Amino acid sequence: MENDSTVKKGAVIFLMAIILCGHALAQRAVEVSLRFSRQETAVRVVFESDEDTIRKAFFTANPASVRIDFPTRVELKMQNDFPFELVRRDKAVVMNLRDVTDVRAYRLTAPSRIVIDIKTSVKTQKEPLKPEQKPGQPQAIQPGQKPLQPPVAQQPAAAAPKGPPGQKPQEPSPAKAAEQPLTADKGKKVKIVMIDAGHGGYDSGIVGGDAKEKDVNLSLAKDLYTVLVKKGYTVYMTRKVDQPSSLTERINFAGSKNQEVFISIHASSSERFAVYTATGDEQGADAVKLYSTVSRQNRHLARSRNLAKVLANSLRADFGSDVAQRELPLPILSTMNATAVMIDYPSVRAYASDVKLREKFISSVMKGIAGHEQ
Amino acid sequence: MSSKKVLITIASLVLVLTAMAGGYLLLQRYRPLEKPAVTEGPGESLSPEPEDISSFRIYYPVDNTLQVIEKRVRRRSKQAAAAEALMEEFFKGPGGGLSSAVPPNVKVLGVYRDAAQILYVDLSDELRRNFQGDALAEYLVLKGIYESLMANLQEVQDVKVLVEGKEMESMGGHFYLKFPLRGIVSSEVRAEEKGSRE
Repeated sequence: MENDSTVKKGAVIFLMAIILCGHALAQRAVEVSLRFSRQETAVRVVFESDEDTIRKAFFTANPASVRIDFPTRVELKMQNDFPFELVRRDKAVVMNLRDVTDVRAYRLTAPSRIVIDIKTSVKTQKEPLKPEQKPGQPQAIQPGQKPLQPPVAQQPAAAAPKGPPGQKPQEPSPAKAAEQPLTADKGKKVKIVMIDAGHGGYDSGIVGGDAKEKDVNLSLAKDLYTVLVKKGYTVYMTRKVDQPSSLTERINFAGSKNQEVFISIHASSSERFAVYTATGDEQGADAVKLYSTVSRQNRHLARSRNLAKVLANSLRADFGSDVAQRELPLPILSTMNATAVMIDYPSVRAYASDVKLREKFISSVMKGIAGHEQ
Repeated sequence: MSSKKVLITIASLVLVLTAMAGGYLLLQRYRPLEKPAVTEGPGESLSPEPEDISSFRIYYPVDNTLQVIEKRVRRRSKQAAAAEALMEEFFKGPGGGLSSAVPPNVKVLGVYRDAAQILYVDLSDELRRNFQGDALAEYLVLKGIYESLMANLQEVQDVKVLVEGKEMESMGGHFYLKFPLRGIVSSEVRAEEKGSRE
């Protein structure tokens, strides 16, 4: 009887061991080779593995990051000197990108691979051009797909403002100063601020009667610029004239400077102020974790929240109205390597016509910045 | 005697499990690997399916949040046709006197699905031209599109919005539109009003 019981126990343990071993075998790491090739302003990254792994992999790409979720754990065999930061999490691989103007990802066969073409705004080439494919293998471009072309280097808005063709760019006088970092009074630490006037060009933003958000944003940005420069700050602007400026261009321009504070100015579609910061790491969804993982904003988030709070308090006190403080995964904030906030002011129409209202707004923002520094 | 029976049972069980695992792996290896890139074309999706009424749970941006409203539409058997009907309902707005950030007069030009189960929603340029809203409104419109499709359709991994058949960088200048939506809209809006959390 006792013997039977021992055998039964042994059998149960044996079965569990088999199941666990089976599970472990099923979860064994699959080898994925990671190689890359550089062109002048482009990098091609190739993940190659067996058909099943590549076919079931799920990937998302944007100028801040590329994430690949493999169906199983993977063991990466990497080429040396990989040009981007790589984060590995269980079955996922995340590439954090910088100075990227465009990114395209393709799933290709024979051999099975995921090809990621990354165009950058800065030169990446350190070595003579090498094709990504192994000798004798077909090139990693789908039929009909354009071959990898070096992109046109992005012209930062503040470095080379452009107007419509044939029209001379309107150069505001304070903007010239933005190119020359200013030194403040002796002994005072120079603060570097970047102001982003939202929208521009064909993108008018919110329209209220004759007033367009892009114009009011620019006007407020210039006013803030002038006050900050007078106070001894070094100030950059993502745009200084009415010109189209994509999110990617703004992000890349901001990435090329060393601002400590980034302020994006937009209009609210409600009748009250709103101050935004990037979404933090605390939220649970996978996609948000991805976004946060790659977010250069993470290490600045506490300071960004503090600035948002101080700005909200200042606006609340000066205008006597509600101020919403929100966190959203805004790319312009999430990718910023600095304290970063977005301020939405209410009523485009009122701010377009009322100079005193604009002055009051700028004064309130300045109080917020001063309060944040303390 | 009894312990022998147990051992035989275990051995049989292990054999059966091994055979099943082997069979599964064999099937995995030899099943067709490539699916057609687009499973349901626009021609198919546009033809109305005969049948009765079904209901969609649609997520509308209303008052700085997403509000779920159930709408009844003719049932479609094909998923792309259902997705198209769903998007048409979404762009009609919530109705009932509710104001929404959903841009008006947007036409659904087509809905397609690729082998990776990403749903491509092709919309008219009114999406961009008629959108009048701030960052929160834009976020909620994109999240509304994503959540509505994910809640009513099966096996969809992600959603990508095209405008007039092309990728656009952004709808309203605050969020990317040229990348699939899941990575953008999968967070809850955290807000603080008058110093207290909402």
